[in-house]
Amino acid sequence: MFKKLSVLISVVILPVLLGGCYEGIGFTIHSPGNYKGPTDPLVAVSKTSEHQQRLLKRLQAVQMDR
Amino acid sequence: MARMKFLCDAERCIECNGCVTACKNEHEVPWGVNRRRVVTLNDGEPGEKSISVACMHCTDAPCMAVCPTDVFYTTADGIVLHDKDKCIGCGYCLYACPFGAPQYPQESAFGARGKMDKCTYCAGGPEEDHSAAEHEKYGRNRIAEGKLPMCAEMCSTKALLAGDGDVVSDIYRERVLKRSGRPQTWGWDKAYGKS
Repeated sequence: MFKKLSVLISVVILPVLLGGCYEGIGFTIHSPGNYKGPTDPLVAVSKTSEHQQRLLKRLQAVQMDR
Repeated sequence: MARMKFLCDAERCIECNGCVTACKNEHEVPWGVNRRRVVTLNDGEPGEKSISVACMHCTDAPCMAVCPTDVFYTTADGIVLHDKDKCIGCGYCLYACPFGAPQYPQESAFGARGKMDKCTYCAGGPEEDHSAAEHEKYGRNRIAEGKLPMCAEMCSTKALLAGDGDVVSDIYRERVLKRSGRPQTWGWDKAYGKS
């Protein structure tokens, strides 16, 4: 009975317990100016000519000297 | 491709602080943080000049170069934005910025730094455009709505201009020609003083 219990502990429980102490070795290397976060949807939008034209029209409508 | 820039015409700025108020109101900027400030040179003396200063969205931004957690990114039209979720509040960007644009809200009674806050050119952050999360962290995203920064659009004397750098410089050049004189914002005297 004791032998079975020790086998159970060593085969099943110990790896689970030790697995809980595992520390991830994945890390993010710093590279200046290289953004690695979630992508802003505005970045894709800002590339479109329609968006550029909208902003240009807005500038001419609101800020031009009259 | 357009490059978005700010330009403050010192001859027109009347130090009304309308841009500061418009920014704070539009983005519900936290207490103690001013994304935009009006600086007056030779205050109280004849010929004093005021300029409105915020993040200048540098083409080669020093804040971006020094940030240890790479929170900064730029849009295709040159707007420098940041991700508050990645910011650790170290303050390197503040030391690197020549305009003093990055600021930190006080987060506790003992003055611990919060996440860095700066002018977003009214373009929000990396969250989904117009989402509640984006509004809470960065304020309104006017650029995604096809509008330009509130501070410039609210400026009563049109001293503060914001938009495509080429168009903005055309507007300013035209003004200078109409004033018929050399602009005092640059030149020998400004750089080296009057001899």
